[in-house]
Parts: sequence; C-alpha cells; structure tokens
Amino acid sequence: MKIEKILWPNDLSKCSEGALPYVSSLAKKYGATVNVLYVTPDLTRHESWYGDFDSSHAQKIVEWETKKAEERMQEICEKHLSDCAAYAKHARVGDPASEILEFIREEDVDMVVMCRKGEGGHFHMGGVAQKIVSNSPVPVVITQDAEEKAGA
Amino acid sequence: MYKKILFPTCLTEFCEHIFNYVLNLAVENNAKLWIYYGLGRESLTEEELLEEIKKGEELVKSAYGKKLEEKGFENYMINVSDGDVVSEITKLARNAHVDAIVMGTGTKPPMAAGEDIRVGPLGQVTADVLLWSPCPVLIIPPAWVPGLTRR
Repeated sequence: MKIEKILWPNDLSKCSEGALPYVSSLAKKYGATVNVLYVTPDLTRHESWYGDFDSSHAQKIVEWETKKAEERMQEICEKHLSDCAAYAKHARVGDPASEILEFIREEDVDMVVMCRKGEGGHFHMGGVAQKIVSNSPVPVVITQDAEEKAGA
Repeated sequence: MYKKILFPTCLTEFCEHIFNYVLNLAVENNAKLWIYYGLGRESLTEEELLEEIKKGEELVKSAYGKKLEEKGFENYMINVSDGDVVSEITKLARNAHVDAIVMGTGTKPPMAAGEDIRVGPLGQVTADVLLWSPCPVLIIPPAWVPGLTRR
C-alpha cells in the first residue's frame, strides 16, 4: 500500500489538532511526507450588491490572516511533526473545500486526515469535511473532536 | 495506531474493492479485523433470525474467504446482526474499542467504466456513521474503483 503524501487540512482549531496523532502515526508507519494546509477564506471576492467597494482593506485582512497562519503552522510543525520523515506547510486563499480538493489533485496526495468539523459553529459535521468526503479522489480519514471522543 | 479495524460491508462490488484496501491495511498494521454485515431492521422470530445470521455469515465467507486465505490472514471476526445498521456499526466499534472504521462513500457508487466519480453522493449510512462513530472513519472513494474516470 502506497502512502507517500498525507494531507492534513488545518484551520488551527482545537479539533484540527485532534487529528495530529493519526497524522503523525501514519506518517511514521509509511514514511510519508505530511502536508499541512491552511486556507484563508477569500474576503475580497464577494459580489458588490450594494455598489463597488475598495477591497484593499479586505485584502489586508486576508494577508494578515495568512501570515499569522503560516507562523502558527511553523510552530505546530516544529513542535509535533519534527520526528516525521518530512513535512511541508502550505497556505492558500480561497474557498476552503475547493482549495483542499485542488491541492489533492495538484500534489498527488495519497491520503487526507482531517477532523470532522472546524472551529465554526456547534455542528456535528462541518461543511468542508462533508464536501471533502463526498468529492475526494483519495481515501479520507475523518477524526472526531477530542471532547466528543471523551464523552463516547 | 490501526490495531483494530472494522469493515462494515453490504457485499456489493464497491465493497469488494474496499475490502482489498482494508485487507492490505490490516496485514501491514498486523491488525485484528472485524467484518460486519447488517441485516437491517427485521421482525423475525428467534429461530428465523438465527437462520438469517447464519446465511449472512456464509455470504460474507463466500465473498471474502478466498482473499483472506490468499493473504494467509486469520486474525478476523465476522459479525452479522439485525437492527439499525448505523447503531449496530457504532455499537460494535465502541464495544470492541476499534481504532478505525473503513467504508465506502455509499452503496450505490457509479460502477460502470467511464462514469464520473462524482455521480455517487455520500450515502445515508456513511453520513450517519461519520456523525456517530466513536473512532476515526476512513472513507474510500469510488475513484479507486478501476476504470472510473477522475474528472
């Protein structure tokens, strides 16, 4: 069984971090490269229903978020993935589900490991996770969040 | 990490492809494998139910027995039960302290060669197992069925 590239889509939430043990154990077992991906939602692409607006302010927020996410990903990688064969961090801007699916195809990922929900809302299953499971061309491991696991 | 694996099956052609993956995963990780086949909600007498369970076990053995033998894999158990399939799968996963459930996106994926992989939506059982599972769920896409297009 070939698992050379593992994708860990991460929104830097507590639940995303819950997938870490599964990511690192798979990476160690199969000597795979871990790709950590953070997608910043693109705030500048909204339709201007109420007239055109200057998107430079929204652009600055997106850039700031991406920069902060890169810093946090670097911390996570150094702290938790240093004993894995290799890791790479990626930051993209756009629709999270579309960007993750595009990344899978572009980078020829072998497996995706992600939590079933992110930090937005108190839902059992997040919309991004659902879209990835339904449309991914490669196997997806969906982990549950730590609080639910403790209560199970 | 994957020392106990649960494979719920509905004995379709898609499940057969998933089983190849599950078997390799179990062999490589030296894991124990549970193969679960659900009968669904049945109103049967105890004797009839026992008969159905026996039939179900035979069906699972005839579907996967040869592959298990070829791999020389003996660390497996076959479970057949009646009742709500999702409840039974999650109950088994909880009671057996399973590390991962491996299943497909649904029972009716596009199977004919040349079909688009996106035709098959997420099935209800898979969607519910994802919600109620006490452990990680590994979903195998229809794209892994040989001959299907990857658009």
